[in-house]
Amino acid sequence: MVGFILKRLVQSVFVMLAVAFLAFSLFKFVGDPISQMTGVETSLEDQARLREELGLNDPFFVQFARFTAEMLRGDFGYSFRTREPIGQMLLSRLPATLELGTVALLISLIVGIPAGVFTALRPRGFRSRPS
Amino acid sequence: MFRNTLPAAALVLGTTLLSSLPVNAETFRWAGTTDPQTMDPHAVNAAPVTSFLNNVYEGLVRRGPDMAEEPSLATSWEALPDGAGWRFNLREGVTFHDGAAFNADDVIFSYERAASEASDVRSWFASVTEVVRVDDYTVDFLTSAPNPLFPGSIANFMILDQGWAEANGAELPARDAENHATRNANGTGPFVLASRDPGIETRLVPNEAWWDEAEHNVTEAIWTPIGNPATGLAALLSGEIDFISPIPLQDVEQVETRDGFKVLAGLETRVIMLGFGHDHETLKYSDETTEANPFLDPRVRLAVAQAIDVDTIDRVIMRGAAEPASQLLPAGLSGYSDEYDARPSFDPDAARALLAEAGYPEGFSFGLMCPNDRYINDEAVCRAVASMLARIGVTANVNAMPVRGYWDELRADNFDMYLLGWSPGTFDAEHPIRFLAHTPNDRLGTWNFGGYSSARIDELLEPIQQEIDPDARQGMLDEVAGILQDDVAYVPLYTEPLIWAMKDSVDVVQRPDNFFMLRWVTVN
Repeated sequence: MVGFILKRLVQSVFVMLAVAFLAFSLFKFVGDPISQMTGVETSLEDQARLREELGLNDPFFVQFARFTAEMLRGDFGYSFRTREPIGQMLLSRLPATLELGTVALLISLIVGIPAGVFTALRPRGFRSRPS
Repeated sequence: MFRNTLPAAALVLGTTLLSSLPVNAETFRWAGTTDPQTMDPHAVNAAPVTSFLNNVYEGLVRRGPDMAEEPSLATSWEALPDGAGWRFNLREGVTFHDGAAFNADDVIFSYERAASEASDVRSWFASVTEVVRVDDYTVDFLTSAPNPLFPGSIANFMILDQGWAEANGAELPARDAENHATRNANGTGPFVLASRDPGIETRLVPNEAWWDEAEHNVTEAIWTPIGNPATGLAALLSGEIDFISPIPLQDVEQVETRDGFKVLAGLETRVIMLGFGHDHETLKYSDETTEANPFLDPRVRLAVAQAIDVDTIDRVIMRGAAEPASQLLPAGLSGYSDEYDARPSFDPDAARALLAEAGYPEGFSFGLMCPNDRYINDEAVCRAVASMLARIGVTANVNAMPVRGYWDELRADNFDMYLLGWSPGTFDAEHPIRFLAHTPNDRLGTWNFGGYSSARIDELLEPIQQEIDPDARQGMLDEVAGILQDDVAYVPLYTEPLIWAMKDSVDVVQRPDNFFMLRWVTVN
């Protein structure tokens, strides 16, 4: 049992890394963050300086490593749409997420377990067969 | 089990609906597509931010309903002798929302903040060399060369309280992070920021201590960003909000015929135009292998201009709400050239003849880049242009994409022709020359994606910026307008309409820059 849990935990680390990688690479397709952060009158010099300051000139894997390291430290950065710290945005929405998750879990337990028991008792019964 | 919960659910639903009704008539709820990214007036130079913050903060100069410059935090201003700059005489007795008094120190502090490297509005101060505090209520902006347009060009330069910014660690704007000024505001303007939930809701209440007489009767204003215009329209028609901008053009009729609602349609200051790859040796997106880029020949560019029937585009796609354009800025703006008021005539036969003369009797094919979520019906306009060009034998392969990746593609030169909209931030003809017509470099011609270059226009830009005599200045602007038309540097199509929808009980002022000013809102 302990081995199984350990195995799953190790797997989950890889899954999270893969998801983080996919999510991060997707940003290559949503356009240049600098042009979305600055106005039309911003000079190219200023844009280039901002790009350098934000490390957007670094190679992709350097940027990904920095992104992952910051995530591990709990630093999710800032939303450039609302300028809020992402961590704070996640936290403020956490109660709703937990509420939804808990309710979903409750429903699956309250409905799922009796339904499972019911169908196990009469595997060939009319009500045990969907459709 | 469900039998018991249903009535309870209905009760909950019922009370939610009741509580969403306006509490009293003067609470004003308005919506638009984009939430301002920040409450910091120096952090992002984008219309959603500047427009919103003009209700909270004020500049030295402001613009009236017709865009005319008016005194605001400065009561008057005059040019210093020998074109050395401008003197602003500040208004006395003005207080910030937190009660702090406004004086010259706040202006100098705000200038240093707005002109700093961390600011996104520093290009407004490119010509300023120094700001001098003459006394408590007099400030001189010294410029490296005479700058007759300076007062109007800083109408969106918002003044912050030095004490407030310093006490809260907001001495510099936060462009990629946040600081106290990102979600809090302390201006001198007609409205006070009461609460801010980014992306959800922002509440403003009137500034009881405002120096000017309030023309509005709003007791609370609630702003909600609604990303999808169709959802926004539904919110208006259901009475949830009082005002929305913009609404889709195709929904205008639906709102107008509905009792209790009205539409305000005017013209924005934005001209929609086609641009060419003037510095492209060959076509990138042609189906056949052409040797040279046909658009390098001015006759081909003129043929494009003559093949496009702007009146039909206006009637069919813009429902008659647009206005054909002849220059890079709309008619009537400062510096517009009356001399070059005429567009090239719509004449497909002449266009075909020009193509034959240029050596393309059989036409050619090319790629037309187009955004599909930036301007009103932008993709439909590109498709119409393509079908009109097809009539003179030229095949446009339309590539329409969301605006978030569009500018990158244009900067990477991935186009043969492209659609662009331009609204001159200073409401003067110098603005599009600086950004669209000057040969591109790090500071100038930064939106001249096609690399159009005219030595004469480059030479005229500085004198235009510095000329004090209006007639001499207009002479130079006319010359530039003439060169741009002769070269067919761009093909201006039309001035974009501005469509606002609201309840009948609401009166607003529609300013051509699409700024929404709460100080002119009355709710009956």
